[in-house]
Amino acid sequence: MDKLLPFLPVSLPVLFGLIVLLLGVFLPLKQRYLLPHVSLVGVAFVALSAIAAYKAVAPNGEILGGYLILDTYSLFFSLLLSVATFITMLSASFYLERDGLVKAEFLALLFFCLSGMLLLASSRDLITLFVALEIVSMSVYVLVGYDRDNLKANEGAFKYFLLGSMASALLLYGIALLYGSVASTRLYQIHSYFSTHAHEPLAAMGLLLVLVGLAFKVAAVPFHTWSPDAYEGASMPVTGFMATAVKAAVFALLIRVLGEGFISLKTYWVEVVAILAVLTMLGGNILAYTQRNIKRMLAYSSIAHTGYLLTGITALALQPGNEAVSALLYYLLIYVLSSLGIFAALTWLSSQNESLVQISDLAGLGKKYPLTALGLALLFFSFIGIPPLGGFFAKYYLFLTVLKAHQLFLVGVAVLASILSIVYYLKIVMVMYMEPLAEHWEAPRIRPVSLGAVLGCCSFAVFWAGFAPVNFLNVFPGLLPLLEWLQYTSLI
Amino acid sequence: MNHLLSLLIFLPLVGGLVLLALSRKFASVVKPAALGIALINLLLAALVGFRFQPQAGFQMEEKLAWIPKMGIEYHLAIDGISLFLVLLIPIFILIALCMAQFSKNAYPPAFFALLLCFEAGLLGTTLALNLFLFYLFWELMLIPAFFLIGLWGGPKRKPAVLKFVIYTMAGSLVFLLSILFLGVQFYSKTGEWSFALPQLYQLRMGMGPVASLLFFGFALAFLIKVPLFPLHTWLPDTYSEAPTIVTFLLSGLMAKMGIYGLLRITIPLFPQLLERWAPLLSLLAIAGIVYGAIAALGQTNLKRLIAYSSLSHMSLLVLGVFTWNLASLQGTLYHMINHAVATGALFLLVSLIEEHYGTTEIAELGGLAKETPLFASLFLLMTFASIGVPGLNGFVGEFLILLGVTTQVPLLGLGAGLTLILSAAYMLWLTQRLLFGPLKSPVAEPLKLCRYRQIVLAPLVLAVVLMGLYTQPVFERTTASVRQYLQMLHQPQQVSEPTLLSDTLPASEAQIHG
Repeated sequence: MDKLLPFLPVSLPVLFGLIVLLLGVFLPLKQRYLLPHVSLVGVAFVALSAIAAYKAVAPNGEILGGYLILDTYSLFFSLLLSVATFITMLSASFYLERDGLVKAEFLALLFFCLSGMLLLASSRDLITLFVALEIVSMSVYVLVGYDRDNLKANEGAFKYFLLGSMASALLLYGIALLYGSVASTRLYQIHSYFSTHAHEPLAAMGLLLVLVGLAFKVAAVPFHTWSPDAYEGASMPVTGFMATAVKAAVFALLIRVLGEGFISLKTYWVEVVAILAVLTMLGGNILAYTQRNIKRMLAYSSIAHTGYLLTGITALALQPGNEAVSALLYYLLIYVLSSLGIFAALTWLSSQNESLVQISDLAGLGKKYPLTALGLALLFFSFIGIPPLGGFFAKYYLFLTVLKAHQLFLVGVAVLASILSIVYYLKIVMVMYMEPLAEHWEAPRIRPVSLGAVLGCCSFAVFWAGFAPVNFLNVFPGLLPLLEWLQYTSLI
Repeated sequence: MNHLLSLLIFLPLVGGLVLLALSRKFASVVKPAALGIALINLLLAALVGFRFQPQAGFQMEEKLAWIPKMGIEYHLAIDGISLFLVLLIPIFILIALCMAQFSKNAYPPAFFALLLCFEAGLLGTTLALNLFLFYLFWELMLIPAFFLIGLWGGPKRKPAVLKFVIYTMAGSLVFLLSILFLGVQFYSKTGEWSFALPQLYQLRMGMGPVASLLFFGFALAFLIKVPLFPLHTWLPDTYSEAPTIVTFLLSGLMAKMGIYGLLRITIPLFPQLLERWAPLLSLLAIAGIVYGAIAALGQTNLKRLIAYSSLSHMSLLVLGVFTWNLASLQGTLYHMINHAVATGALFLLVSLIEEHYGTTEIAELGGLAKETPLFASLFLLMTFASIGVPGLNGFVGEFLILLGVTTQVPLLGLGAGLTLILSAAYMLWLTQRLLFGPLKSPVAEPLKLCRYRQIVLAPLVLAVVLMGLYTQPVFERTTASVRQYLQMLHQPQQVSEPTLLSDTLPASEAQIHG
């Protein structure tokens, strides 16, 4: 069992996925409402197994001879991704119910995706990383087009698939070129090779291709064109899943690859990432401004956040020490929590039908559902960067780290981009509070407590993370307070 | 009672938030409770004023580690420069709450609760001595203002409030960038993070271009809030679209926060750069005085007219700040109160006109003196205070500022003095059109000042008269602090240029590069 424990986090989701699939076939129709419940329990187990595995192999953390590593970094992402998947399943159950779609496959796909994401977070080898990324991408392609009678879903899935597979090809080609010059795909071997050997053009070419492939996956401008369509076509829970879990997982990969493997090649990629960051921040924010569909707006806003995170990645290269990683993880945490809250609320609001996703449909929310509107307003204010909310401190910490790495220009652009972002976030708040209720408004029939609770928890977490960030600052290489607390309550 | 200042901030903040939560279900309780909280806060502020010791500099300090790893602490203190703002804020909030209570517009309970939150932001900004904390309260001020204008403003409130928030947030974000940059400078010099103002004051920046950029980064947010010409374009729309009671607070209190920020943060951080940039800013201030006055002459709407007059007068304060000698600083502090009282009172009187006659167009009104002599005499008194008739408070402040400016740069003083005549022109013309001449009124009933409103307005009238005749109580308390402040500015210190690039690299990184 001890030998098996480290592999549980990656294999448990596969197991649960298969169980859900089988249950979907063999369970009588009447009892299939149980499937989401089973899945939720499954995700909780995955999260617990991640903690147990971390404890079992600590402090070294390496397994499979260094192919995988279970350090605090991967633990952080495992927990974050499990939470995101948990919330997605929660909101998905309402959406599947509404559209009369088959539940089992959907939930199984989420499980497979989770498995891939956990692998992404803990892998230290380019090939493993690629396989993990493909597992994630494949599941998400299908999830986007899950409602196969919906034209928009088809369009989104198709675009996403075409561009995504091209990105994968580029990535793989880059990996091949790198292997050609280093003769290894292990990140630390690449690092040690380039810190002693001369940098060959082959390696630079490979690195560039890997970067472009990853830029596609995180939707950095100008490789972002798939994301608004995919976001719009997907159902609300899946959009939320892509904006939170998938994005966080790809960043886990990006930070690991650039910070660990290619740090000795930094002269090649720092400027590329900086240019991408500038384009992404400005492009995302300017395009978000013109959107009327809330999903598209959130897609562009998520692109903009990608841009801020990319500035943090340049700091990773210029400055030794964990501070940049800590700032990045803190930013990701806040971004994921805020987005999860927003998408949970939107899932509920659009639970009548998927067409209620124009920004103007939120009119009068402040009067009709004051608590939901308050939660949403809090999260949007956090995105704008109003202290003492988490979004503010995330920006504060990230920008400070980037400034410390002497990237004044990047931070200047980031501040300019944040000024642009005020407009469209604020407009949503204004629509919610300062417009009368829309006439064609159909009130959602259901009022699920669970989604309300998600919104409440996320809002509170974002508030608390900003108010007392001292506990979150230890995220890397910490997260120890959480672990100690878990130990204290004898959960593990 | 060591936590008097915290109590001063958090009583209205917590009270406001609780009342906001209750405002739906327990509407009847909220309004009296809000008035009660504001009254208690006024008493607390009075206690602070009573305990204040003029010679002691920063006092009643409160310090708590908040995020020690990054040098962020909860640090409050009060000195002679902030004292009168701390006294002014609770009085104005209480007046605004009372006016809202007796208003026929039936403001909902949430309005009262938000006013309390606004008060907390204002007080926090005035008392904070850590840049992080200052920024927090600075932004906290904006959110209630956003909702107050956006929910209860005039017909064009939405574009107005959007403009207002974008302007102020843009300034704030640049301010944030400057804070971060300064923090990094401090870190690269000392090896530890700190955002405490007293420590950052020691970090004297040089005269280079980076320091100049930083100076403007720190000034921009405040100059927008004041606002200084040409950053003023949000002001007329916001002031005229906001509910007039809120405009009273915006011009009376929030604009003062800009001046206070300049005094507390921008100038002490960059005393070397003042010599270089003060002429430019002073010229802009004079341009603002002239521009505001000329624009006011052309207005047909009462609210907009007073908004532009407020702009004109605020520019005079900026001029006083950027002259930074004893007379002008004393004058600025004094005139901050004067302007708040006179312009604030004018806005309140306009709110009565708006409520009673349903219009603020000057052309639709006239000869009000015949109808409501009491109202007319109040309006006239405030007009005189605003244009600086000797014997009223406005004269003292303007005189001191002009004295300070003239001793430093005679030509500038002359210019400012001459342009102030313009304020007499538009205000007197306004009173002539509004109060005298044949009676014009859209409604049959005359405007009556009920007893409650007379009581509410009484403190403002008293302030106008008393502060014009008996200035000692104020100057007694500010002089020592202003002297210390000036000493700090003129202290010779080691000056070092802020740096952008590699020469401040941490040692480990430098080795890698080497």
